[in-house]
Amino acid sequence: MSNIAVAILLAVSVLLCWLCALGVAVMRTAYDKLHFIAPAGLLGGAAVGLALFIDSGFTTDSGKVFLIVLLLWLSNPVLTYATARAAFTRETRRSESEPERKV
Amino acid sequence: MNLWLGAAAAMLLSLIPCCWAVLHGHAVERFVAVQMAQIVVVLSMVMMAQGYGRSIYLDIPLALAVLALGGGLVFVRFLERWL
Repeated sequence: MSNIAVAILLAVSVLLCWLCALGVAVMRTAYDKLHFIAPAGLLGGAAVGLALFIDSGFTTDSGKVFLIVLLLWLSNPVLTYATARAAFTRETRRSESEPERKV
Repeated sequence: MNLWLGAAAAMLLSLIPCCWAVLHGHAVERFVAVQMAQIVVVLSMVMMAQGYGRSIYLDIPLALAVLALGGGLVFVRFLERWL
């Protein structure tokens, strides 16, 4: 029973990562691409962590994986926000440096 | 090959679209693809550590998860100000 649960959780994680990677490759702007990072980091990480917890229980390994998943959960929104801000700043700087068009 | 190693191999295949995205687009768009690749590599390394049954291997994705945040913030600052 636990093997089936582990297999399902791993399949969910792999499928999420595939879809999110395809989304990052297909979308055109950086803002659109940024939306596809969150599911892989948050849900994919949670699925892998839960699968390892089911597989090995309360061990040092599950503690380390919990720390890894926690780091992914914390770093993902911070990096997403910082990247979106950098993209906005670059766009603003570029539009300010270009001369205004006369209509 | 057990279940964990199979899942890790399958997950590593999602690096292909990430690599394609890294090679195309502007600097910020490429950086987003690098972020996605970091997540994929961290998760697949966790799976590999469990698949090989070596607890010490989990230190590598742990270090990568820590360094990805610091390195990413530095990279973003460079993109925002100087690049």
